[in-house]
Amino acid sequence: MAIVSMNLVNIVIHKEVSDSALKDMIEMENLHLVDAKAGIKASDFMMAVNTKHIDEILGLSKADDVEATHDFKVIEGPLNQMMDYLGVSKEERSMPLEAVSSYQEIKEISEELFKDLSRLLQKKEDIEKRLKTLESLEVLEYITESGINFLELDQLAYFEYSFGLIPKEQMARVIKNYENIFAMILPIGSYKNKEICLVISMHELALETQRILRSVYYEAIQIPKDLLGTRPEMIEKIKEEKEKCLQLLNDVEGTFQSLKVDYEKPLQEVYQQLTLLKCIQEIKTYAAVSSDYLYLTGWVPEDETKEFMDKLSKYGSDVSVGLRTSSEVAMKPPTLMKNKVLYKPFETLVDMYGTPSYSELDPTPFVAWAYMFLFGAMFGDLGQGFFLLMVGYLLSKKNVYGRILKRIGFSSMVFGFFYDSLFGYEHVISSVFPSSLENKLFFRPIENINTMLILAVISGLVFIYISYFYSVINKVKKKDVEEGIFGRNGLVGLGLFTSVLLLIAHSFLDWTFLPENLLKILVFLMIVLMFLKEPLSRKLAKKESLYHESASSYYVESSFELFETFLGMVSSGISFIRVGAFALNHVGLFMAFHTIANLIGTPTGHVAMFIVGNTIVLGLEGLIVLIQGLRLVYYEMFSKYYEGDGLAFSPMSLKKLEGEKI
Amino acid sequence: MFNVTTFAAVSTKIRYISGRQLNDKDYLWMLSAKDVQSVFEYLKAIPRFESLFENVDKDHLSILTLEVLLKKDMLKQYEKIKCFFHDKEEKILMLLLKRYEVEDMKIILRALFLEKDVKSWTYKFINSKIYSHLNYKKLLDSNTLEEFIDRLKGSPYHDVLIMYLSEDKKRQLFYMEMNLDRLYFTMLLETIRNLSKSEQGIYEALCINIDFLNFQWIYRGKKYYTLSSEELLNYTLPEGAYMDFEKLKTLCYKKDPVDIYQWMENTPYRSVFKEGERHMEKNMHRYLFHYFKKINRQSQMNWINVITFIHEIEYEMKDLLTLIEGKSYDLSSEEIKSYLVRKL
Repeated sequence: MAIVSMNLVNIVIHKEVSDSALKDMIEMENLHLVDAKAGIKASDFMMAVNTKHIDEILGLSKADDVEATHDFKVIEGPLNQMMDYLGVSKEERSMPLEAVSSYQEIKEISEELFKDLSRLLQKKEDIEKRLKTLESLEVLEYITESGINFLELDQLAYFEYSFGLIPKEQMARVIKNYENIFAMILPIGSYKNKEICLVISMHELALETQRILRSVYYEAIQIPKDLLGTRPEMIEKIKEEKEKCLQLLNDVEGTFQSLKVDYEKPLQEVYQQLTLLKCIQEIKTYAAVSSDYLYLTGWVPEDETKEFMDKLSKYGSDVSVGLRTSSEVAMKPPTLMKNKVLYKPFETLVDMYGTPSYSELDPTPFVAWAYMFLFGAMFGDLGQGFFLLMVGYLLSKKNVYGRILKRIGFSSMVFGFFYDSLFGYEHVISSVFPSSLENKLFFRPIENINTMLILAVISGLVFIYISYFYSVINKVKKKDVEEGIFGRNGLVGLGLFTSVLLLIAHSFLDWTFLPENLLKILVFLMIVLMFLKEPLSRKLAKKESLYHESASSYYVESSFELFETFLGMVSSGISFIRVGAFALNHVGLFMAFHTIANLIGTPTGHVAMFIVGNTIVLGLEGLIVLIQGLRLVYYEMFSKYYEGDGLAFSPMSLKKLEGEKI
Repeated sequence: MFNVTTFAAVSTKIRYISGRQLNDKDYLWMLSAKDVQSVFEYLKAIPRFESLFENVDKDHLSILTLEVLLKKDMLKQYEKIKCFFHDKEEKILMLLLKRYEVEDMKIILRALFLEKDVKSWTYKFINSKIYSHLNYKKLLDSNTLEEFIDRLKGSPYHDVLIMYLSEDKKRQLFYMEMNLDRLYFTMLLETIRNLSKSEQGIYEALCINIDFLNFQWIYRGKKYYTLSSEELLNYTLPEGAYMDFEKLKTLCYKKDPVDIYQWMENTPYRSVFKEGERHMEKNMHRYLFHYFKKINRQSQMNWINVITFIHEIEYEMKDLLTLIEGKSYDLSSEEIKSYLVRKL
């Protein structure tokens, strides 16, 4: 339920076992790599210094970039093509990965596999090409001139013929200048806004004719010699040929399917080996190498460090690991959040704003409760909540947002029950219970408008107080005295907020447990402390200068900041009124639909309005409430205590690489 | 109403940018400057160019560097207005800017044709993504024309250029360049023809441009490449402002290029041709420049403002380059003045 502690590992691997050791690390999926070379340069690479490691230490001084990488595309291209053709899944993970094959081995195996397949593929492409040519000849059917024999035209001794299409507007220009053109351009039909033309010219003028034709966007249609003849003969031949081609294509597809059985496993194996090799290659980009060794630096979660070390211990002296806790190094560790199942999906909402930094408190549990509460309070309806729960349930297997929807749907149901609201109908739930319980158990927002709004502000104040609590702890953890104690979101800010609240309570409600004058003194004191936060904190830290800039500019800035603090206090408290307002709005919208239904006055009208009303409220208001809830969490709460400038823990794994697709 | 919502913001932006353009006084000062360095110093003192020339050393200034920088500045101005357009309007603006893509294609084609090394030219097209989705890096990596055209697969240029790959080397480049222009202007014509009536001025400007293009093709095709009259006539674009099919036919079937030029001197475009062939291209720009200014004065919040702005910025860049180049060759200020698009 917090941010997982990390250990920094400096790993030295002998090149002979490097692939195998890296494969183990990939399978463990718990090493977040950082650039080893930067660490070595800064002399921040730790390993056990003893005589056994003398070679590794010597190599460290010569550590350099990793050698050139392999060109995976040579295998990837055809492999992906084959797998797609055969419909072989790339997700199959049932086979355990054996020892790592070298690039050369994978290349040879894949080439052997591709031999038969590429022959078949070539055949398929040839047939498809032929089919395309045949299809382009469908234009023959649109020829209106019946007496043309293409075979005879082809045998002309002194003339050349060509057959093709010219756009109609270009044809009009040709006709206007026809008297100057030394070729016969005969329109013989019309096809898709183009003229079908037969062009006949003398051999000597063929080049000139071609140039003229090109200038009018002429598209020549090539007729294979074996199809030449009169138009009806050709149409018949094309039909036969097309059927033959389709049959052949069918046969090839059949052969592909039968090959799938034999090739599925080997192709998947090659695919996996290739992915693994790519992953190893990727790791090596983070590594530094000497002539014999590979140097890696990375972060491992503390609770998995033992497993990590144990797994690598089998390599004996070929792999040595230097281990340090995060407090022993200056480098900023990545953040891995571990939360209970209930809170887990809300990590996405936190990440959307920013990953928490390693030293920050994980805000996920607070976000989870706050978001569920706010959504439920704004969109409380037993029936609609149940609908959201079901939709969330259906989506939850594939989508994290589905899991969030499930939780907020449930929250909506809980609030809906107490709001006595079922698909917009009030008093339905309460009718099941004895009337003596009705007033005790149910709270209908529309009947208690003022109470609802006040409750909303009170719940907001609770959230703000929790935010202050998070803020103080985060700042203390960061040892930020200035903001943690004197800042507007620190202890002094908390004191000021409380004093102002009590003062307001005293003025408007005539209630307080502290005398008014004392409260006024407290407010004044807190303002002074906040105003002097920098000089005070610098004094406490025994720094030489009291200001990081000139004193006058500090006080000008500080006075504006103070003004903004007061403004923020008022606005953030009032901001939570929207929770009550949306709860009222929810009922209000339904009231409008009920009125329309009553105006229609028929049972069909009631049913129609029930469906339309619920759809609109679910779609429109549901979306608004989702956003408003998020806004309150991000803007009113996160802005108080959360920085979110951490780096997410991202261990090297096959899944990560597959996400990028080979 | 629709135009107001689309063009209100962009027109304001254009007015602001136009207000920062160089004026006649600036040009006159630069023309009287003693050398290129002084011109450069003058420009550097103008806020608009300050950041552009910030890291440029005036003693190691080359025309090429300046050309790249000024083009960068020009595209930056276009980028500033691009964000005001969406959907259909954005497509139209992109089409207007595509002209630079076509010009780039011509530059690369010419370089490959002359067997120059284009690999190191990436810096020239650094801002190309403003108007183009093509992968310039890949295109510039081409060693031959064939390779370049092959890499254009998927773009409309490919189908146009591939037809001329086997053409006679003497005419090949002319065919390719002409057909790129023909393709672009055909696309532009189809789009602009459908704009509203209030923007008729743009259609007319395009028709004038078509007349100029048709004339150039016919004249150059006859004079330098001896293309057949039939072919030339087919290549010409329709919908010229003055030259209809019959006039084009007359022009195409004139035997002597001198006759073609003289024929043009008796058209409404006589001012373009009166100074001779050397000034012809500049005069075409000048003709359009004044035409745009005229229609811009009569229109409010529509495409005319945008197109006028695009041309004004482009002509400013052209004039600056001409001026600096003229200074570097020690031409007199009167001579430089005669090469400028604007009339001073």
